[in-house]
Amino acid sequence: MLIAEVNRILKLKTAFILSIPMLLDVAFTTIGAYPYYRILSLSTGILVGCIAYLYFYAGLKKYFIEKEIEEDED
Amino acid sequence: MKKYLPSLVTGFAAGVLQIVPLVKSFACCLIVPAAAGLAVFLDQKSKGNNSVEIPISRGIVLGIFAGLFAAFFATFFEVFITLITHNNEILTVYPELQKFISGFPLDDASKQQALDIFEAVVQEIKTSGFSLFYTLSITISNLFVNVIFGLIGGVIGANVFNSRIRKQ
Repeated sequence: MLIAEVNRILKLKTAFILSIPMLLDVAFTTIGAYPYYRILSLSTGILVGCIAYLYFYAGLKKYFIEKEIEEDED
Repeated sequence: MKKYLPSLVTGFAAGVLQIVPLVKSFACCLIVPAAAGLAVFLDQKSKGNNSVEIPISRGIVLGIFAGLFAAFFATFFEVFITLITHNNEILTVYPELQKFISGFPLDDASKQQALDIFEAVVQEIKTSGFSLFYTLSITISNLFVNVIFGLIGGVIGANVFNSRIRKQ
């Protein structure tokens, strides 16, 4: 149920859009457009991290379901 | 080996990108997971069956191997370029590193020991272009980071791939 819910809410496009602030932050900091701000990096990182975590969690849950099915078959 | 060819291909690409200035800032958080996800996609494409879901366990294996290959190639290119140019990022950040280590909550002897190690690394790179300590450090760090992020990318990649199949 969670996997289906995550897949419904979070499309790959959403993940890409949410990773844009982090990409821009890293690029601008690297080229020296503005100095490194911890709070800004933390915020943009959390944004990407949350999405990645949800996908990862859903994937791991599916992995354990697959494993259980395999064990039941054996 | 054929089983891990997608990981080798994407791991190589990730390894190359990890030494490109600016792009390498995204190495662990984006390039390696993307390489692992792409390996999952290529693996399924190579089987010629795009309508069958890929097991997450296969995604994990492909992701780990993509991370391993990325770590190997990134380390190899980094060491090779350092060997030729006798220059490295560590030489640029060394003055900052000295200040950073001085600020550590450690006793003076430990701080001095850390500074001596870095001084030796810098001297070795300047003179011969190769430092065993530096090579070992980046090998271990690349292996550790890339394998973890490769695994995450493999799981996410397999999940995304499967969700697309379910929609079809």
